[in-house]
Amino acid sequence: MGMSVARELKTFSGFATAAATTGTLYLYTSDMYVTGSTPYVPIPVLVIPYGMKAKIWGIRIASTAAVTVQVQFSPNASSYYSGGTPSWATLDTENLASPGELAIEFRRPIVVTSKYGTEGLQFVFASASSVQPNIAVDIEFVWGEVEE
Amino acid sequence: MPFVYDYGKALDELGLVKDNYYMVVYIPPTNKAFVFWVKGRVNSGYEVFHYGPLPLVSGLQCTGYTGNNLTVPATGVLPPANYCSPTPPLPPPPQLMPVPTNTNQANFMFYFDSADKLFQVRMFIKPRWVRAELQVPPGVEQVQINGYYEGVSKPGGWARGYLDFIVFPGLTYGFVFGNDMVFGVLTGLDIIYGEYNVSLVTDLDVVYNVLTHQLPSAWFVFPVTHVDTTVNNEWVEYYGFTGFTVPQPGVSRSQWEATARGELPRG
Repeated sequence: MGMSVARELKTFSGFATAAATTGTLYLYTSDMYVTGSTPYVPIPVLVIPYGMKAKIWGIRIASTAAVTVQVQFSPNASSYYSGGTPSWATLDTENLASPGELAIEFRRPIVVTSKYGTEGLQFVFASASSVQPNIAVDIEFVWGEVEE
Repeated sequence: MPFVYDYGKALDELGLVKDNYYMVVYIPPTNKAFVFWVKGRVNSGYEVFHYGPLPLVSGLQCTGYTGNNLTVPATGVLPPANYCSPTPPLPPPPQLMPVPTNTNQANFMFYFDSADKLFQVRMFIKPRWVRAELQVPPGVEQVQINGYYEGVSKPGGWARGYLDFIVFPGLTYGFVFGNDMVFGVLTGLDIIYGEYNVSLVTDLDVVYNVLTHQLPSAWFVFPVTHVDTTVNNEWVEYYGFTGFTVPQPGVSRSQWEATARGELPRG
């Protein structure tokens, strides 16, 4: 019954808006209110709420051609929403070697911590041919889990 | 649970007080407490209910964390990077309780006006990252850190997705909910509650033994840092006084009883 720790595990779908050789995957999840008009649209940059952790537990990739998907982190991801250009660093790379599906469950999650409320993630893809891949990523948001 | 201490297996697996146990509501700013005897739970067997979306009505003005003030775009939706205070704070879902409009109960579904009843409410807000703050009464901030008021608009002074409180008679509480995610969220609220038939205990022998933990009790901390006049007046209205001072070490029982007798209503 300890309620000082809050957890929310969400599956985000990531999709490319058009076929291309590279691009950013826009994220949508079931709790997201979407109308098609800003600010209620799927998002390319996921900013982690102040003081929370984002734990990426698994990724599934589906594509009609070979594709590479990268998980990228930025300490100033929130600047995207004020017209800025965050600087991104790659945390994880997954390769789908041929048309089909790749499902990966991480034994230990990729953990990203928000210290300032500005940190965030994006998911990008690259392919030798023009593709429109889809991913699904399981992200758990955790608050109050303090390491001693 | 932040506001509840179980002195002697007084709580069940839902975190609610078992029948025929003592229940203490402690008021930190005054170091006083009310002691109740829980005679029974009215809603035994149906303590859990799904409220539905948070009572955020379309068009409600919110405040942006970074200046972009948005309105609630649809019922139950918290706009991105904004916080809002629902008005009315917690009306009953109409299909659940068709109470008359413009009544206190229509504004706050746990409102009641009887000295022999109490509600214990545990609110679980979805998604769990939603910041939640309780105001007693509505509009009156209660959370302070070392003398400074905090709340959902600030980095501290709120819980994510969870609130736990006791409802006293004659009072309405307020809420502020904040969404510091970069997308608007469809909210949801699940509630575990106990609707208790209670007796206020004024027998000083029992009160002393409960407050010194010699009798088992569930000990609830009333989540206020100052007692608003409205709250004080309702306590006087329904109970005739504002609680017993909790005995402190070094004070003899007879000294405490002299104090406690002075606190009890005369007549």
